[in-house]
Amino acid sequence: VSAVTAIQDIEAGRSILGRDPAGEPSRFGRTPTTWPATGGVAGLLDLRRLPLDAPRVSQSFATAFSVNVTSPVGSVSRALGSLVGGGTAPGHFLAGIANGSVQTLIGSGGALAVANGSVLTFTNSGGALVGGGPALTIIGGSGSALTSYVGSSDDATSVLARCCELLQSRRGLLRPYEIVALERQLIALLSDADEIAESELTVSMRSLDGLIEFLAEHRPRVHPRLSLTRAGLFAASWSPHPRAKLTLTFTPDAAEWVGVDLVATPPARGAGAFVIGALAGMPQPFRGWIVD
Amino acid sequence: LKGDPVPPDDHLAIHCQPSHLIEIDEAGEPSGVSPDVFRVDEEGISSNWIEFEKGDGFDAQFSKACLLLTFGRTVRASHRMGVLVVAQVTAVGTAANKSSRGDTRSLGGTVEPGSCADNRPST
Repeated sequence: VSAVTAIQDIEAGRSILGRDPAGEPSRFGRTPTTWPATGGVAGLLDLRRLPLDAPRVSQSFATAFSVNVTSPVGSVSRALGSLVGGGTAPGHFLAGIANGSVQTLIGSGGALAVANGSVLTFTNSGGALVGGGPALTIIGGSGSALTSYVGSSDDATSVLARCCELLQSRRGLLRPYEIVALERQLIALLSDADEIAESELTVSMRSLDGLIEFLAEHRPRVHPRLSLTRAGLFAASWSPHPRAKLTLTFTPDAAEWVGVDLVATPPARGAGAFVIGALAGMPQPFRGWIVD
Repeated sequence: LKGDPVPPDDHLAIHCQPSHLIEIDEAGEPSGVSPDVFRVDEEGISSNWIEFEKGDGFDAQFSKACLLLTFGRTVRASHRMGVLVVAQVTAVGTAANKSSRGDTRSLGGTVEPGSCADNRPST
Protein backbone atom coordinates (compact mmCIF):
# COMPACT_ATOMS: atom_id res chain seq x y z
CA VAL A 1 0.00 0.00 0.00
CA SER A 2 2.65 2.43 0.97
CA ALA A 3 4.72 1.78 -2.12
CA VAL A 4 1.87 2.29 -4.53
CA THR A 5 0.88 5.47 -2.86
CA ALA A 6 4.43 6.64 -2.88
CA ILE A 7 4.77 6.02 -6.58
CA GLN A 8 1.58 7.85 -7.34
CA ASP A 9 2.67 10.75 -5.26
CA ILE A 10 6.02 10.89 -6.92
CA GLU A 11 4.57 10.75 -10.38
CA ALA A 12 2.11 13.44 -9.49
CA GLY A 13 4.95 15.53 -8.23
CA ARG A 14 3.17 16.18 -5.00
CA SER A 15 3.84 14.45 -1.74
CA ILE A 16 7.18 12.84 -1.36
CA LEU A 17 6.20 10.74 1.58
CA GLY A 18 4.99 7.19 1.51
CA ARG A 19 1.72 6.38 3.18
CA ASP A 20 1.28 3.91 5.94
CA PRO A 21 -1.66 1.49 5.87
CA ALA A 22 -3.82 4.05 7.65
CA GLY A 23 -3.18 6.52 4.89
CA GLU A 24 -1.07 8.82 7.00
CA PRO A 25 2.28 10.04 5.78
CA SER A 26 4.90 7.64 6.95
CA ARG A 27 7.58 9.14 9.05
CA PHE A 28 11.05 8.21 8.12
CA GLY A 29 12.34 5.85 10.75
CA ARG A 30 8.99 4.76 12.03
CA THR A 31 7.21 3.03 9.22
CA PRO A 32 8.71 0.42 6.91
CA THR A 33 8.62 1.46 3.31
CA THR A 34 8.08 -1.27 0.75
CA TRP A 35 8.07 -1.26 -2.99
CA PRO A 36 7.26 -3.75 -5.77
CA ALA A 37 9.64 -5.30 -8.25
CA THR A 38 8.26 -3.32 -11.13
CA GLY A 39 11.23 -1.21 -11.89
CA GLY A 40 11.25 2.50 -12.22
CA VAL A 41 10.90 4.69 -9.23
CA ALA A 42 9.57 2.36 -6.61
CA GLY A 43 9.95 4.17 -3.38
CA LEU A 44 11.20 7.29 -1.83
CA LEU A 45 12.37 8.06 1.61
CA ASP A 46 12.25 11.64 2.61
CA LEU A 47 15.32 12.80 4.43
CA ARG A 48 13.50 15.94 5.37
CA ARG A 49 11.87 13.83 8.04
CA LEU A 50 14.90 12.27 9.54
CA PRO A 51 14.31 11.11 13.08
CA LEU A 52 15.14 13.76 15.58
CA ASP A 53 18.40 13.61 17.41
CA ALA A 54 19.67 11.06 14.95
CA PRO A 55 22.12 12.63 12.59
CA ARG A 56 22.92 9.19 11.32
CA VAL A 57 20.34 6.89 9.91
CA SER A 58 20.68 3.25 9.09
CA GLN A 59 18.89 1.74 6.15
CA SER A 60 18.31 -1.97 5.76
CA PHE A 61 17.37 -3.14 2.31
CA ALA A 62 16.29 -6.57 1.19
CA THR A 63 17.40 -6.71 -2.40
CA ALA A 64 19.43 -5.04 -5.01
CA PHE A 65 18.53 -1.50 -5.81
CA SER A 66 19.91 1.79 -6.87
CA VAL A 67 20.06 4.82 -4.70
CA ASN A 68 19.90 8.43 -5.58
CA VAL A 69 20.61 11.08 -3.03
CA THR A 70 19.29 14.25 -4.50
CA SER A 71 19.61 17.80 -3.42
CA PRO A 72 18.26 20.37 -5.82
CA VAL A 73 19.24 23.25 -3.62
CA GLY A 74 22.85 22.52 -2.94
CA SER A 75 24.33 19.69 -1.03
CA VAL A 76 23.63 16.74 1.16
CA SER A 77 26.18 16.46 3.88
CA ARG A 78 26.21 12.75 4.46
CA ALA A 79 24.31 9.56 3.95
CA LEU A 80 24.92 6.49 6.00
CA GLY A 81 23.35 3.13 5.42
CA SER A 82 23.72 -0.60 5.58
CA LEU A 83 22.69 -3.41 3.26
CA VAL A 84 21.50 -6.86 4.17
CA GLY A 85 20.04 -9.92 2.46
CA GLY A 86 18.30 -10.36 -0.85
CA GLY A 87 21.28 -11.81 -2.60
CA THR A 88 23.53 -9.03 -1.58
CA ALA A 89 26.22 -9.29 0.96
CA PRO A 90 25.86 -7.12 4.02
CA GLY A 91 27.59 -3.88 3.54
CA HIS A 92 27.75 -0.34 4.63
CA PHE A 93 28.18 2.87 2.88
CA LEU A 94 29.03 6.26 4.11
CA ALA A 95 29.06 8.96 1.54
CA GLY A 96 29.77 12.61 1.89
CA ILE A 97 28.40 14.80 -0.81
CA ALA A 98 28.93 18.40 -1.65
CA ASN A 99 27.40 20.23 -4.56
CA GLY A 100 26.30 17.05 -6.15
CA SER A 101 29.62 15.27 -6.23
CA VAL A 102 30.69 12.43 -4.00
CA GLN A 103 33.49 13.49 -1.74
CA THR A 104 34.01 10.30 0.18
CA LEU A 105 32.71 6.80 0.00
CA ILE A 106 33.68 4.45 2.74
CA GLY A 107 33.10 0.78 3.40
CA SER A 108 30.91 -0.15 0.47
CA GLY A 109 29.68 -3.67 0.13
CA GLY A 110 27.15 -5.94 -1.49
CA ALA A 111 25.01 -4.47 -4.16
CA LEU A 112 25.92 -1.07 -3.03
CA ALA A 113 29.48 -1.56 -4.07
CA VAL A 114 30.23 1.28 -6.38
CA ALA A 115 32.88 -0.52 -8.36
CA ASN A 116 30.87 -0.07 -11.49
CA GLY A 117 29.82 3.39 -10.48
CA SER A 118 26.25 2.75 -11.46
CA VAL A 119 24.60 1.27 -8.43
CA LEU A 120 25.03 4.20 -6.15
CA THR A 121 24.26 7.39 -7.95
CA PHE A 122 24.36 10.86 -6.61
CA THR A 123 22.69 13.63 -8.43
CA ASN A 124 21.84 17.19 -7.82
CA SER A 125 18.77 17.51 -9.94
CA GLY A 126 15.88 16.01 -8.07
CA GLY A 127 13.85 19.16 -7.76
CA ALA A 128 10.73 17.98 -9.46
CA LEU A 129 10.87 14.70 -7.66
CA VAL A 130 11.18 15.85 -4.12
CA GLY A 131 9.94 19.38 -4.35
CA GLY A 132 13.12 20.66 -2.84
CA GLY A 133 15.38 19.28 -0.22
CA PRO A 134 17.47 16.19 -0.03
CA ALA A 135 15.90 12.81 -0.39
CA LEU A 136 17.04 9.26 -0.54
CA THR A 137 15.40 7.69 -3.54
CA ILE A 138 15.19 3.98 -4.14
CA ILE A 139 14.94 3.11 -7.79
CA GLY A 140 14.00 -0.30 -9.05
CA GLY A 141 14.29 -3.69 -7.45
CA SER A 142 12.02 -4.93 -4.76
CA GLY A 143 12.14 -5.28 -1.05
CA SER A 144 11.57 -3.16 1.97
CA ALA A 145 13.39 -0.62 3.98
CA LEU A 146 13.14 0.28 7.58
CA THR A 147 15.11 3.08 9.07
CA SER A 148 16.46 2.83 12.55
CA TYR A 149 18.71 4.79 14.78
CA VAL A 150 22.36 4.05 14.75
CA GLY A 151 22.88 6.38 17.64
CA SER A 152 21.74 9.71 18.82
CA SER A 153 25.16 11.15 19.21
CA ASP A 154 28.65 10.72 17.98
CA ASP A 155 31.56 11.92 20.04
CA ALA A 156 33.59 12.42 16.91
CA THR A 157 30.95 14.68 15.47
CA SER A 158 30.88 18.20 16.79
CA VAL A 159 27.74 19.90 17.93
CA LEU A 160 28.07 22.30 15.04
CA ALA A 161 28.38 19.44 12.56
CA ARG A 162 25.33 17.74 13.95
CA CYS A 163 23.32 20.93 13.80
CA CYS A 164 24.42 21.62 10.25
CA GLU A 165 23.61 18.06 9.34
CA LEU A 166 20.12 18.44 10.71
CA LEU A 167 19.74 21.71 8.85
CA GLN A 168 20.86 20.05 5.64
CA SER A 169 18.36 17.29 6.11
CA ARG A 170 15.58 19.84 6.50
CA ARG A 171 16.67 22.30 3.87
CA GLY A 172 13.79 21.39 1.62
CA LEU A 173 11.46 22.97 4.14
CA LEU A 174 13.19 26.32 4.16
CA ARG A 175 13.69 29.20 1.80
CA PRO A 176 17.24 29.56 0.46
CA TYR A 177 18.02 32.71 2.41
CA GLU A 178 16.82 31.04 5.59
CA ILE A 179 19.22 28.16 5.07
CA VAL A 180 22.12 30.53 4.54
CA ALA A 181 21.17 32.62 7.55
CA LEU A 182 20.77 29.62 9.81
CA GLU A 183 24.11 28.22 8.71
CA ARG A 184 25.80 31.50 9.53
CA GLN A 185 24.07 31.71 12.87
CA LEU A 186 24.93 28.14 13.83
CA ILE A 187 28.57 28.71 12.95
CA ALA A 188 28.66 31.88 15.02
CA LEU A 189 27.04 30.20 17.99
CA LEU A 190 28.72 26.81 17.95
CA SER A 191 32.04 26.98 16.15
CA ASP A 192 34.09 27.18 19.34
CA ALA A 193 34.06 23.52 20.34
CA ASP A 194 36.32 24.10 23.32
CA GLU A 195 33.94 26.63 24.75
CA ILE A 196 31.01 24.33 24.25
CA ALA A 197 32.87 21.61 26.08
CA GLU A 198 33.91 23.89 28.92
CA SER A 199 30.43 25.22 29.42
CA GLU A 200 29.02 21.67 29.37
CA LEU A 201 26.27 22.98 27.18
CA THR A 202 23.99 20.32 25.79
CA VAL A 203 22.52 21.67 22.60
CA SER A 204 19.10 20.28 21.82
CA MET A 205 18.63 18.93 18.31
CA ARG A 206 14.91 18.77 18.93
CA SER A 207 14.90 22.45 19.72
CA LEU A 208 16.67 23.25 16.46
CA ASP A 209 14.23 21.08 14.61
CA GLY A 210 11.37 22.94 16.26
CA LEU A 211 12.83 26.22 15.08
CA ILE A 212 13.14 24.91 11.53
CA GLU A 213 9.61 23.59 11.63
CA PHE A 214 8.38 26.95 12.87
CA LEU A 215 10.13 28.83 10.07
CA ALA A 216 8.76 26.40 7.51
CA GLU A 217 5.25 26.59 8.89
CA HIS A 218 4.88 30.33 9.33
CA ARG A 219 7.31 31.89 6.86
CA PRO A 220 8.22 34.92 9.00
CA ARG A 221 8.56 38.21 7.17
CA VAL A 222 11.97 38.78 8.73
CA HIS A 223 14.50 36.15 9.64
CA PRO A 224 14.94 36.16 13.43
CA ARG A 225 18.03 36.64 15.47
CA LEU A 226 19.20 33.44 17.05
CA SER A 227 20.60 32.62 20.46
CA LEU A 228 20.99 29.70 22.80
CA THR A 229 19.66 29.48 26.30
CA ARG A 230 21.67 28.12 29.17
CA ALA A 231 19.65 24.95 28.81
CA GLY A 232 20.87 24.51 25.23
CA LEU A 233 17.59 25.48 23.62
CA PHE A 234 17.40 27.65 20.53
CA ALA A 235 15.67 31.00 20.88
CA ALA A 236 14.53 33.17 17.99
CA SER A 237 13.92 36.88 18.48
CA TRP A 238 12.24 39.65 16.56
CA SER A 239 12.59 43.33 17.44
CA PRO A 240 10.35 45.74 15.54
CA HIS A 241 12.15 48.57 17.31
CA PRO A 242 14.97 48.79 19.85
CA ARG A 243 12.72 48.74 22.89
CA ALA A 244 10.56 45.84 21.89
CA LYS A 245 11.36 42.21 21.54
CA LEU A 246 9.57 38.94 21.04
CA THR A 247 11.44 35.76 21.78
CA LEU A 248 10.37 32.22 21.00
CA THR A 249 12.20 29.43 22.78
CA PHE A 250 11.85 26.01 21.27
CA THR A 251 11.67 23.22 23.80
CA PRO A 252 11.86 19.55 22.84
CA ASP A 253 8.10 19.25 22.82
CA ALA A 254 6.65 22.67 22.10
CA ALA A 255 7.62 26.32 22.31
CA GLU A 256 7.33 29.26 24.64
CA TRP A 257 7.08 32.93 23.87
CA VAL A 258 7.77 36.09 25.79
CA GLY A 259 7.24 39.56 24.43
CA VAL A 260 7.87 43.03 25.73
CA ASP A 261 7.17 46.43 24.19
CA LEU A 262 8.44 49.23 26.38
CA VAL A 263 7.33 51.94 23.97
CA ALA A 264 3.66 51.07 24.13
CA THR A 265 1.50 52.87 26.68
CA PRO A 266 1.17 51.11 28.98
CA PRO A 267 4.09 48.82 28.21
CA ALA A 268 2.90 45.64 26.55
CA ARG A 269 4.10 42.33 27.80
CA GLY A 270 3.06 38.75 27.57
CA ALA A 271 4.28 35.20 27.74
CA GLY A 272 2.99 31.72 27.27
CA ALA A 273 3.32 28.43 25.49
CA PHE A 274 2.20 27.71 21.98
CA VAL A 275 2.05 24.91 19.50
CA ILE A 276 4.58 25.33 16.71
CA GLY A 277 1.97 24.80 14.05
CA ALA A 278 -0.32 27.58 15.29
CA LEU A 279 0.16 31.11 16.51
CA ALA A 280 -3.43 31.58 17.57
CA GLY A 281 -2.54 31.66 21.25
CA MET A 282 -0.14 34.54 20.80
CA PRO A 283 -1.86 37.92 21.06
CA GLN A 284 -1.22 41.06 19.10
CA PRO A 285 0.90 43.03 18.75
CA PHE A 286 3.42 40.25 19.20
CA ARG A 287 2.07 37.89 16.56
CA GLY A 288 2.11 40.68 14.03
CA TRP A 289 5.83 41.12 14.50
CA ILE A 290 6.36 37.69 12.92
CA VAL A 291 3.64 37.30 10.31
CA ASP A 292 0.99 39.44 8.68
CA LEU B 1 28.21 51.23 48.86
CA LYS B 2 26.76 47.76 49.24
CA GLY B 3 23.02 47.83 48.65
CA ASP B 4 23.05 51.32 47.13
CA PRO B 5 20.98 51.77 43.99
CA VAL B 6 22.73 51.99 40.66
CA PRO B 7 21.79 55.15 38.71
CA PRO B 8 19.26 54.22 36.03
CA ASP B 9 21.17 55.95 33.26
CA ASP B 10 24.39 54.12 34.02
CA HIS B 11 25.53 51.04 32.17
CA LEU B 12 26.12 47.42 33.01
CA ALA B 13 28.64 45.15 31.38
CA ILE B 14 27.82 41.49 31.00
CA HIS B 15 30.27 38.87 29.85
CA CYS B 16 28.67 37.07 26.90
CA GLN B 17 29.73 33.85 25.25
CA PRO B 18 28.52 32.76 21.82
CA SER B 19 27.10 29.56 23.23
CA HIS B 20 24.80 31.61 25.37
CA LEU B 21 23.97 35.24 25.98
CA ILE B 22 24.98 36.42 22.51
CA GLU B 23 22.33 36.92 19.89
CA ILE B 24 23.30 36.39 16.25
CA ASP B 25 21.70 38.10 13.29
CA GLU B 26 21.13 36.61 9.87
CA ALA B 27 24.55 37.73 8.70
CA GLY B 28 26.13 35.65 11.43
CA GLU B 29 27.21 38.68 13.42
CA PRO B 30 26.58 39.37 17.11
CA SER B 31 23.72 41.81 17.23
CA GLY B 32 22.65 41.85 20.82
CA VAL B 33 22.31 39.96 24.02
CA SER B 34 20.23 36.88 24.47
CA PRO B 35 16.99 37.22 26.41
CA ASP B 36 18.63 34.92 28.95
CA VAL B 37 20.52 37.98 30.15
CA PHE B 38 17.27 39.21 31.62
CA ARG B 39 16.42 35.97 33.34
CA VAL B 40 16.41 36.85 37.00
CA ASP B 41 17.52 34.26 39.50
CA GLU B 42 17.87 34.44 43.25
CA GLU B 43 20.86 36.71 42.91
CA GLY B 44 19.30 38.97 40.33
CA ILE B 45 21.26 39.64 37.18
CA SER B 46 24.96 39.58 37.83
CA SER B 47 26.92 42.18 35.91
CA ASN B 48 29.55 44.87 36.23
CA TRP B 49 28.76 48.54 36.75
CA ILE B 50 30.82 50.38 34.18
CA GLU B 51 30.58 53.91 35.56
CA PHE B 52 31.87 52.67 38.88
CA GLU B 53 35.29 52.24 37.34
CA LYS B 54 37.65 55.13 37.69
CA GLY B 55 38.65 56.62 34.36
CA ASP B 56 38.39 59.55 32.03
CA GLY B 57 35.18 58.96 30.15
CA PHE B 58 33.08 55.97 29.32
CA ASP B 59 35.58 54.31 27.00
CA ALA B 60 38.25 54.27 29.67
CA GLN B 61 35.80 52.98 32.22
CA PHE B 62 34.60 50.31 29.85
CA SER B 63 38.17 49.21 29.15
CA LYS B 64 38.76 48.81 32.84
CA ALA B 65 35.60 46.78 33.20
CA CYS B 66 36.80 44.49 30.42
CA LEU B 67 40.22 44.18 31.98
CA LEU B 68 38.65 43.35 35.29
CA LEU B 69 36.80 40.53 33.68
CA THR B 70 39.96 38.86 32.50
CA PHE B 71 41.14 38.39 36.06
CA GLY B 72 38.23 36.31 37.13
CA ARG B 73 37.17 34.48 34.03
CA THR B 74 38.37 32.74 30.92
CA VAL B 75 37.89 35.14 28.06
CA ARG B 76 38.10 33.98 24.47
CA ALA B 77 38.30 35.93 21.25
CA SER B 78 34.77 34.99 20.39
CA HIS B 79 33.38 36.41 23.61
CA ARG B 80 31.72 39.81 23.79
CA MET B 81 30.77 42.30 26.42
CA GLY B 82 27.13 43.24 26.46
CA VAL B 83 26.52 46.86 27.49
CA LEU B 84 23.10 47.57 28.88
CA VAL B 85 21.39 50.59 30.37
CA VAL B 86 20.33 49.97 33.95
CA ALA B 87 16.84 51.38 33.49
CA GLN B 88 16.21 49.22 30.48
CA VAL B 89 17.38 46.09 32.23
CA THR B 90 15.09 46.71 35.16
CA ALA B 91 12.15 47.51 32.91
CA VAL B 92 12.58 44.42 30.79
CA GLY B 93 13.32 42.22 33.78
CA THR B 94 10.25 43.44 35.61
CA ALA B 95 8.03 42.96 32.58
CA ALA B 96 9.40 39.53 31.81
CA ASN B 97 9.01 38.36 35.37
CA LYS B 98 5.48 39.60 35.59
CA SER B 99 4.68 37.74 32.44
CA SER B 100 6.40 34.49 33.13
CA ARG B 101 6.08 34.14 36.86
CA GLY B 102 3.25 36.40 37.82
CA ASP B 103 5.78 38.23 39.94
CA THR B 104 4.56 41.76 40.50
CA ARG B 105 7.66 43.11 42.18
CA SER B 106 9.54 45.90 40.51
CA LEU B 107 13.22 45.30 40.04
CA GLY B 108 15.98 47.70 40.80
CA GLY B 109 19.73 47.74 40.59
CA THR B 110 21.80 47.67 43.74
CA VAL B 111 25.48 47.24 44.35
CA GLU B 112 26.57 43.86 45.65
CA PRO B 113 30.31 43.32 46.03
CA GLY B 114 31.46 40.36 43.99
CA SER B 115 34.55 38.28 43.58
CA CYS B 116 36.14 40.32 40.83
CA ALA B 117 35.75 43.74 42.35
CA ASP B 118 33.34 45.75 44.39
CA ASN B 119 31.33 46.93 41.46
CA ARG B 120 28.93 44.14 40.74
CA PRO B 121 25.37 45.32 40.81
CA SER B 122 22.61 42.85 41.34
CA THR B 123 19.61 44.03 39.40
